[in-house]
Amino acid sequence: MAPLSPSNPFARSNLLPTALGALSGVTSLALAIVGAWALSELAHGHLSSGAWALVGVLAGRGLMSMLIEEFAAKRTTRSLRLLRRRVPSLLVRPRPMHEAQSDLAWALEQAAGADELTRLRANAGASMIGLGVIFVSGGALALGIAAALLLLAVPLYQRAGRRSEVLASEYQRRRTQLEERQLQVLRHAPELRGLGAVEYGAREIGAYSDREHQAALGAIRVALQSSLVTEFISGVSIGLVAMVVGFGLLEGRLSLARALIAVFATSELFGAIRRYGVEFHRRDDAARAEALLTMAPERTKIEGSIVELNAVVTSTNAEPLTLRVEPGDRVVVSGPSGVGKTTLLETMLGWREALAGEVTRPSTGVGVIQPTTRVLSGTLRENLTLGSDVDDASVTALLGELGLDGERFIDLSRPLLPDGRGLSDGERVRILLARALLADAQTLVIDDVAGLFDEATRVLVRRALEVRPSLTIIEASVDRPLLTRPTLRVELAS
Amino acid sequence: MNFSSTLRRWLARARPSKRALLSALTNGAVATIANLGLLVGAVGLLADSATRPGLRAVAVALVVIELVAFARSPLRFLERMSAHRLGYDAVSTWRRWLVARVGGLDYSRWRAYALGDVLERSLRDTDELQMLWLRGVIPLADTVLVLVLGDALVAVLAPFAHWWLVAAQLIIIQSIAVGALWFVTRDALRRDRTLRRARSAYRAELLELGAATPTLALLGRLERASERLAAPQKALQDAESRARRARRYSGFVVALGGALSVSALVDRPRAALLWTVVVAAYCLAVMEALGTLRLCFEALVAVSGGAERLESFEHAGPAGRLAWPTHCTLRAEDLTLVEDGRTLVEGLSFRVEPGRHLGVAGASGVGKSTLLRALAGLDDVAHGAVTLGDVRVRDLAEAGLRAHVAYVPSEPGFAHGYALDVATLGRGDAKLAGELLSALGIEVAADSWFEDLSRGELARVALVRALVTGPDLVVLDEPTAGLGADETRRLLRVLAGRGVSVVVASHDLEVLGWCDEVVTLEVRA
Repeated sequence: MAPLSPSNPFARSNLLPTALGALSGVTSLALAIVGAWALSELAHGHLSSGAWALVGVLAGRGLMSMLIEEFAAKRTTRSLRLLRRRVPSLLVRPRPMHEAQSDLAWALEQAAGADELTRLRANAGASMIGLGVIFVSGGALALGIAAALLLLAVPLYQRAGRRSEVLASEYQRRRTQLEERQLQVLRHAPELRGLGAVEYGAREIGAYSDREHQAALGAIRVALQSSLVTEFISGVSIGLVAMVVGFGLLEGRLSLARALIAVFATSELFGAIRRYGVEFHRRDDAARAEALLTMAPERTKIEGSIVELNAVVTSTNAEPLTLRVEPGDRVVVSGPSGVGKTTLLETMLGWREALAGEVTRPSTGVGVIQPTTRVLSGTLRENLTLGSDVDDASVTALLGELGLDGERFIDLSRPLLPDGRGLSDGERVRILLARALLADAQTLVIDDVAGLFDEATRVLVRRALEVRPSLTIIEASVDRPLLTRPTLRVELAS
Repeated sequence: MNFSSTLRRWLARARPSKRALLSALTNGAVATIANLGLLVGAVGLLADSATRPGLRAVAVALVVIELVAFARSPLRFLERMSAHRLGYDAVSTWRRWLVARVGGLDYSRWRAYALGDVLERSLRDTDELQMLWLRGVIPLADTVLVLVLGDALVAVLAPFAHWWLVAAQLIIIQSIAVGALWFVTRDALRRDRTLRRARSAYRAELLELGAATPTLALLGRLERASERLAAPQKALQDAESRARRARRYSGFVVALGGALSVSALVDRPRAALLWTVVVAAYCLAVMEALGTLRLCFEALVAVSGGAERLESFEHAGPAGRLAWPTHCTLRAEDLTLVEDGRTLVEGLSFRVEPGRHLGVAGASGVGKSTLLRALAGLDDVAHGAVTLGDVRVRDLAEAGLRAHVAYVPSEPGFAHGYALDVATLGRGDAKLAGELLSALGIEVAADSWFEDLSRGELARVALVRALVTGPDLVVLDEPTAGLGADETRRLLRVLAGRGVSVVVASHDLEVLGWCDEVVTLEVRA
């Protein structure tokens, strides 16, 4: 896979955008020269040659920008296609809240546009040829002025760039806060309405939004100030070069064409640098996108068919925990709410990093049932079989065994909605259990779902687990587990 | 579809201060004119000094060029800052608008939106609206102004009898180019909608798979995620390539418009050379201006697509107006509740006198939560009525109703921030909140920060939030899920001590035993 950020412009994957950027730099310089010549032709009364040259310049510019757009679009499409193919493998572990999946979509688009920066950099590099043009047409003094001011601009710009990076990261932090908060408010809108707190939510979002804007305005101010520096220097440079060539004109040393070429070349030179500078912030975006699209390797050992914890410490459990779950074991993890049962289960699954110690889990055949797990949009059959070949009779039989036998569960082609609308929590959890059993899971990890069942259902589910003695089950529960006769008990204390 | 009226509505909704708007427009116009003046003026003056030498004139000319060149950067700075400020003020207003609208939706409507990524999308759409000022209206107004001024200048400077011919020619070419851009853009609006739909379908699938894939991978069914993602991905790619084709046309219009304006120079043999050079430089500027207009139109298309979607939040149902009644016996009369076309409850009647506790029992999926939402006035009923005193709950004014009735859903969330903020949500008595929290076994300091609360802790904080305003009635959905037996008992003790009417749905026999009366909902055949 190609690197996402444009680290080396001559790396193989970057050669094409580099070449195009350089080509466009040289072409726009050439067009500027032709444009200057055209204007001088016009000034000398050669209307037809001047006008045609001008038309040529305009058409050339139009063509070039169309060409670049076309190229950029092609490259973006290609890299998007490659990046999107990577997506499923990025989802195998739950992503933290601030890296929500919609951010993933953002990252894909950012990363795909990363070679825009490479192109602009090459463009800026190529426009340095402009210094030669200034020398030839405007003389050594003009060159000296342009070069000196360019050298002055670079460190000033870098300094301003560093300052704006600091502010930009502050802005990014506030932006993330705002997004998360607003999403929370919207996702809990009925809850807020039920408490008469909608106005509170709106006020709070207003405040978060204002804070974000202050940070943004600060970052923009610095970014603009830094571009002000280059703009100012470019203005001074164009002005001084114009003054030098103007005196040359007066003294008759220079022709109008050469004078104009010197001025236009100076303007092109600084224009290319400015364009690169303006898009510079994309480097941060590209880096952030790359971080989102790379997954840290999983440290959990994946082998065999057992779950094993070796002196594991989690964020909620400082006491090292050692545990070996053999096939067919029934383990209950208990403790008061908030003690870290869910954290422990998710550490076993490799979804959370253990702070210390070693975790081993089977590579596959593990069914996870959490109260918050959602169903997939699609038919009931799709949810239960996950596309594998299981006959309807055995599916219906299993549903019946778990007490899912009402009219709503007879028709397996009935559509389900991803939020489980039309299903109670207890029903949804049993569908997930049935799905795991149909997928021949050897191990079940159950996170405190017994409270979602009424007594009759609890009895049915218990029975369904008891008649499958080969299943390994790890269950977390405050004090009412489904497993009444566990082979192993882990008591977590706060 | 009415593209421009949608945009006008949103501009009005942003309610910018006249001063901010005026300063943004003025700054923009001055910066743009200075830019144009620099290009055209510098070229003209150089040409003039070449043909009419005179040291003094040239010196003056060069000083003027220098001054404009120096002034250009601060002017642009002012322009950007004022446009950003305008955009940010507007977006804050829109964000508050969005929260208030979504917060006023009935539960079933909200649920329909919460599916997929309508809510996530609304954030991006609101953000994008900021571009309405920044990339749309302000540069559009400035560019049009520059074109008008430029045309006028060319006409005024035209040193021969047919000045109006030149002006007319430029105006016609520019109008045709702008018209063509507008036409192409309007067509792009349609493609943009398709692209948006495809993008949000892809995002929605990504969101769904983001939650489901870890489980699928552990079950050994990761390939199912790839299979599901394939179709929305294909649709997105197709929509993207169609939208790209539309951009090609507008790029072509810009190039053509710029090149055609040079024709104003053709066949003007008696024109002064200076004038010819100035017009030629202006032609270069026209092409830049058309490019800017193209970007403005594209920004407006993007903004209006988002604005259209946000407007779907606009139509909340009829609001109740009646005042809170003097006595507050809760009555359900001959209630029928329907969800997704399925009748859950039919002909249900009961009453809860002030201070009494009613339990709602029944198997999973039987409609307990739906009933509770109807009692709290969060959703409509299919038949019958919920009344408080003698007033239908849906006829009560929202503010009064929420001050007296508190509702807690079965999976409460929204608990992240300073403990006392979370526990009061800006209402009620902070001291009482602290007492209730500690009575429920959650000890907090005033500045403790809630993050990652467990289910049991969340359940208790949610109850405190409901009690803290001193309501007359609390409606609780599974308040003891995730709690142990001790914690449950403690919660019931606190609840009993508040003397409020309680309606509670639960599986927990301890909770149901605590109630004065229990309604059991039956599974319907």
